[in-house]
Amino acid sequence: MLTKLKHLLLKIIDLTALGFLEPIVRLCYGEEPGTQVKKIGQFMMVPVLVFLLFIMVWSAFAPRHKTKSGEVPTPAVTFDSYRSIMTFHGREGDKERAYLATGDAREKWLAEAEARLEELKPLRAEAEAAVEEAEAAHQGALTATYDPALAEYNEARQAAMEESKQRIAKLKVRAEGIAADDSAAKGELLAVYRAHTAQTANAKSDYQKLKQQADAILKAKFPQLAAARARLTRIAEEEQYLKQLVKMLSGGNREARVADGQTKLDALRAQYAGAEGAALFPLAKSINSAESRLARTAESAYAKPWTLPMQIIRSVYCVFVGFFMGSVIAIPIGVLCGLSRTFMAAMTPFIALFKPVSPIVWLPIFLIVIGGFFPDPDKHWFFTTLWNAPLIGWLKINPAFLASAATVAMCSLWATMVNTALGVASVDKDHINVARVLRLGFWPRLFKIVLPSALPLVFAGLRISLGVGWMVLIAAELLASSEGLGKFVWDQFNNGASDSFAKMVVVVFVVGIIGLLLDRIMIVFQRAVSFEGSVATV
Amino acid sequence: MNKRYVEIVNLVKAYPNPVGDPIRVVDGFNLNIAEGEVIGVIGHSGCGKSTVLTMTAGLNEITNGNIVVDGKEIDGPGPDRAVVFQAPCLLPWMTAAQNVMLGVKRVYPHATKRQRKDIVAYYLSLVGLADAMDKRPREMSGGMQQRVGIARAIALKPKMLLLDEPFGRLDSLTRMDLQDVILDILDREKLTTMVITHDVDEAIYMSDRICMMTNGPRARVGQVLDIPFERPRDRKAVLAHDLYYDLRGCLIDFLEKFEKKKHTDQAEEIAAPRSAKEPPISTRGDVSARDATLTNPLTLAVVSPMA
Amino acid sequence: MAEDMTAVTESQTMQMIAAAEVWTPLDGDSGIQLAQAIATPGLNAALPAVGETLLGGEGLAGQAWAREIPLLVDRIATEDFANADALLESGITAAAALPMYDHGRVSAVLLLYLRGGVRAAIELWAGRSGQHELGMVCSYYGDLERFGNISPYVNFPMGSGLPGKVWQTGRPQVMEGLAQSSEFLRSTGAENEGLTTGFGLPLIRGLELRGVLLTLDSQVTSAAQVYEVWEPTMAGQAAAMCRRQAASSKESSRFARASEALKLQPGEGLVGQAWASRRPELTNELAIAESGRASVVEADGLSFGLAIPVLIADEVRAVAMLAW
Repeated sequence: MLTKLKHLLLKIIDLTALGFLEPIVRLCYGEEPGTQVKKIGQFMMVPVLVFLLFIMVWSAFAPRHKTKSGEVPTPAVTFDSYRSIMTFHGREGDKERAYLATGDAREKWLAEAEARLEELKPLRAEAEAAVEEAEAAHQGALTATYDPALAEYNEARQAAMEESKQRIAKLKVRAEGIAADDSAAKGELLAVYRAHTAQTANAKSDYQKLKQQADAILKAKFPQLAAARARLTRIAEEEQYLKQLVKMLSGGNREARVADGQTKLDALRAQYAGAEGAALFPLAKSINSAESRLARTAESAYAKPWTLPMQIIRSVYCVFVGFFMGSVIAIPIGVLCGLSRTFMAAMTPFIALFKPVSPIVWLPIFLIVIGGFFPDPDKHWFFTTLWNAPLIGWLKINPAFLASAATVAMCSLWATMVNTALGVASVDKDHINVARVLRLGFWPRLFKIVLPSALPLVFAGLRISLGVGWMVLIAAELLASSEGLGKFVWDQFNNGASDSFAKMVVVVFVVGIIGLLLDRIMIVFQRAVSFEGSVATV
Repeated sequence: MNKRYVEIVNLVKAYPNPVGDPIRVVDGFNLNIAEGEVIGVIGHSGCGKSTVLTMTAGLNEITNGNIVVDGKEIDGPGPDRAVVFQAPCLLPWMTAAQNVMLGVKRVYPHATKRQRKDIVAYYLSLVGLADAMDKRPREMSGGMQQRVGIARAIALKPKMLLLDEPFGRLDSLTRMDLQDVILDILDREKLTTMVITHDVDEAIYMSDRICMMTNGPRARVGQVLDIPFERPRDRKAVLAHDLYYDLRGCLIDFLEKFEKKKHTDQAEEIAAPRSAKEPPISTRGDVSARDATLTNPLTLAVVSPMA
Repeated sequence: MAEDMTAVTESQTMQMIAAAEVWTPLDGDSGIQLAQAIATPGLNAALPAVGETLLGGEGLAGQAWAREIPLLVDRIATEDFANADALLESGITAAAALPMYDHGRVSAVLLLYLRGGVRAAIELWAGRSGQHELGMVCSYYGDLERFGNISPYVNFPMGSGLPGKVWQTGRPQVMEGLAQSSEFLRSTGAENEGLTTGFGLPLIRGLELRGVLLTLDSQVTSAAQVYEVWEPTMAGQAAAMCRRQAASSKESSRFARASEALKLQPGEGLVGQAWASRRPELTNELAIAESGRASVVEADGLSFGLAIPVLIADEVRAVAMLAW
């Protein structure tokens, strides 16, 4: 029984190409402990250690580089900003649910929120006090360090200026005493003037340095203050969130608004019932607009801003759309190229010409072309259908999305096409002989022999294409302003908030991890169709 | 019994030569194979044995001459001449049963699915793989793969079975096993067979007659040796037979002779320039001598007048 | 042509061919009659006399004539020879009856009587039904047992080996140095048994090869001392016979050298006679028959001669001569 489990585990590990887990399973079963431990050391411990080393180096070097957007974020800061992104996402989700909440659940939630607000009040007061205290402490520290530094600077500056004035005065005096024909003295005068200028410059740079030092002290982080401020910010943020939540659960709630609208409508209707003559028309108009407003409100959704997880999903969706578009074009053409030399010769100039073109060039072209199809995208039936579709409606597919997908398709289809052509063209001669001896027709030969034989190479191509597509997508989204990871990065860059830099670093890891997962999935597929039983995994 | 079931007449295979005349790998190969006969073909490497076999199979284009099987000249490859190659070349994405089914579907288009499955199972059990039907090639040893190759070939119900050094890649024990498998099948199905092999003992064990090819280029039949052992063959009896050693010696002598002859073959060619003066030849019916099973007046070569 | 005996030399007793006869068909086709005969001295008693007839396909020669195929028996028996016992006592063990064909009919039958216990071989090859090869019909190996073991199973396609070469060229072939020859495919066997010279004679009717007679000699015994193959050429306006191939034992080398550039007219020498008569010619007085080469004939001590014409499409294409 246990051995069956072991074989099953090993088979799963083999299928998913997670070879580094194998020694662990074997060790658990006591197989060759020495070798297994060594393997674990080699394939798991070493990479982990190297990664930790990387984190440490990063932590050490990051604060040393100061940029316009603040310091380079350390791992800790990056992780914090990741958490704040997720918190934001969670809160927006809550707000949406609050908007849509109804009945008893709503009442209960409202009560809870208000209670929490109450709890926060004293905490906030505390935090504010702490901030004040810290500020005071900071001021005190500054007085000790900054003021003298500043004073020193001022002194130095003053002294330099004084000296300069004196030198100039002396020079003027000297100048007055020089005759017209005393060239030697004139020369001396110039030399001395030059010396004076140099001295002034030196002195200036000296006292500038002092100023910088003083400024550095001023700007230096005062941990106590920073921590107090951070805590206050968190509390303030939560407070704000709770206030909004309360709003969503009470007056802003959809149910509430619908009820409200209904009441108004009823009132209008009552009025209408009792009115006559000329008053009827404006009333009718009001009733009509009230009705349609009510209908809209009943159907309305919470205007949720795009959070990172939502953008991740949209990006992944976009890359798959582009990937499938590209594969649907690349595979048939690749098959034809592999089957017919003439066709391959015909396609070669196109492949050679268009393969190296960068996505950054394709994107504007696709934006224009796709824009041409949909002059008024918001009203076009294509998009309105999609936006109302059940699962994918919230993605809000727009021309920018399509243009990004098209760019992904355009750049990633080459790998699949070339690999498919190669796979089809290089079917083992012996397999073809089998087909010849059996006198298989064209179609049976294609589907039973040529395509299955080519499948491993096709999937190798698909895997490369997906990888390329993922890279291309981020760039395309950034340029097309299509909601997604690319746009997130660009927004943060333009934002210039204190944690923007950290958020961008978070995106680096997110993109990398998603790319890794996509590659892994493709490896599993590749494994499944390969018949030699092994697949290069890099 | 049709003694001319397979006729290979004046077979020539020439390859174009970028720097001169085409190179004739096989030049004037003549062989008749009787129905149900097993012909072994031996010769030095590169002498053109495989070329002759692939031309018979229709996988290689014939430059000159013809090959007639069961009264019809061959026209490209087909399931009537099934081939077993040295490398099994099973389709690796199919199981053993599916590989055999590929041929069965072709040859029994009107059978039901059930019937076809039975046929596949029958042939796989003939080669001793009844319990490996659903294995894929990568899960099978070389010997097992070759068995599937053999099953796939005979399932085509071919008129002629062509084996191109089928056991070349296998170890001797597996080889002996598979020799018996094939002999067993041949005794059962009475297929006309051409076997190419490097192994002299294998040739003697398996064949009714052995065709010894001269060296290439311009290879043709050197000698043909009758193997008088009766069927079904018993390995021990064959090895112990008085004649075994002499037969073996004859084959080895031939091979050794052409070891030395390799480079002087051109010079030794009997020059018989063709002339149009003498009329071509005819054959007659059977004429038998008193205590032999043969004779048949043979067509003379076209003889030149002396200058 | 002479019926008397002449002096017998030492070497002649080691010849495999002990006696030879030429039988010709009787008018009316009822049988054959003995026209010529030669024999080593001492055998005359066992052999038929000139003029005797074999009617209705009697005897080995009669069967060859009636069935129109060459025959070889490796053991003389009474069904083939009336005096089988006498022949066996005289040391004759095997016999070959070779029909000669002219214009579609058997024009003569050459009967060879072969000694037993010799280290030489005679083989008869013919086409195998359904095959495109020469297979052995019958053979006599004397003392050469091992060589005889395997040969029955060997078949030759056109051009391969000595029989194949005879088939391909349609001419008699002489092959010396069998053990080293690259053309003699059974050379290892030849080396083991000490075989030195081979001679092949095609038996052709019209354009069909009815058989190939092969003799294989060793140092100890041979079928004949001298083998020659003569073919007609155009010398000026007239046809003459030119010697194409020859092999001879050491004792007869003078004969061989002398005949190298010789040209024979029709009727000249034994070869010329065979050419003119289109039948085998025998003599036991070679010096007289070969007037042009009489001196070397006597010098080498040759006395018996046998000339066999080869007709293709009813024209004499070659004459084979054996002398001992």
